[in-house]
Amino acid sequence: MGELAAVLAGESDGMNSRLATLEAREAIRALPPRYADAYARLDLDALAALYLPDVPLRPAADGTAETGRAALRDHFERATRGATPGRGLATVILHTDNHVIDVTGPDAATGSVYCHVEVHRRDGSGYQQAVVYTDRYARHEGAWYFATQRKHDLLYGAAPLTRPNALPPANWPASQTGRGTLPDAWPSWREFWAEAR
Amino acid sequence: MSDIESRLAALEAKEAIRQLVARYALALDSRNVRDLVELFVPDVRTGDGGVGRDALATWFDAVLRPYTTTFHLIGGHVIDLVDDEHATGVLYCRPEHEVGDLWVVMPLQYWDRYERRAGQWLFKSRSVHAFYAADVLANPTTVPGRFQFPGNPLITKADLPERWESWQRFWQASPTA
Repeated sequence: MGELAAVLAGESDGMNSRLATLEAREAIRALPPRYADAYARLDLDALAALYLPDVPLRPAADGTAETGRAALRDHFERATRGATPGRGLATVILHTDNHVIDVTGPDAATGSVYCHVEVHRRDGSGYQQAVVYTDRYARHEGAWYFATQRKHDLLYGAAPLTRPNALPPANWPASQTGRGTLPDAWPSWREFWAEAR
Repeated sequence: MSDIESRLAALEAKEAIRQLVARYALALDSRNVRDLVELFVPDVRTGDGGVGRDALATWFDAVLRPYTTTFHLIGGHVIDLVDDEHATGVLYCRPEHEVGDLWVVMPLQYWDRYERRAGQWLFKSRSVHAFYAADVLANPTTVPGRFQFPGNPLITKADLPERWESWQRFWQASPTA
């Protein structure tokens, strides 16, 4: 019997489950860069395939809520194609890191991801953004997926060579540039500044 | 401990340390000082001679007030395991800071020491070594001292690359160019 087999047979399910946890974390860590790569390629099928097949979409303004990858793909189509000629996306650089992963069950996890965004539109305009994504992940038939649409919290968006300081609120996704909901949306941020020192 | 188990434990240690630095950035940017100090060993020593997490919270409070919005995007992370309870690390970070009317970018390295206490990997210490600090509209090479960060009580100069002995030796050997 080989060393690995002996260990797995004798020593424990414990190590097996520890290995499975590391594998799960590794698979989850790959999801944000896969999202970035698919987005940059404008491969919307690949992008939608990173989500659970029956992923629930955020409710629309009229309260209806769709589910599934086809509806999600339509959402990405609208976001990337642009409402008017020239406003569609040409270069999309989603530089992600800071991936906090909390495995909450054998098939479920949550996470937080930082992203520095640089987008060039087809008309030559563009912007940079600082974004924090909050994610839910789920395992389905052995593979890990985004379980819901990613919660997208903007710190700022700004045209190149622009200081974000004095920009008006972006009210993202209404505008890609301006101050975001973060850091004010963090309760700890508000508590910190409420305590006079 | 079997060979397989020690290899597994080493991977787990590195994973835990990777999570530690990401949680630090999130706690710092959200000004969650309570979460931030929980990432350090209970007997952490502060820069001003204090000991313990409460002392560290007080120390952080002063350090974190002279600027508002921050965004600490991290990157390359070297982790060296020393033994089962100790590790060292070098972490790249490109933080942005809102400093009054300025938007200061400060590429830096953290030089970290990690320790495992009660099964949990924590910071023993971390020090910050900046390449430069400059407003987003400035050319860093023309900023005096490569350092433009008014009112930063902790980091007052850019000490990289000059601080590296290898960098000094390289330019001493052939000072032209």
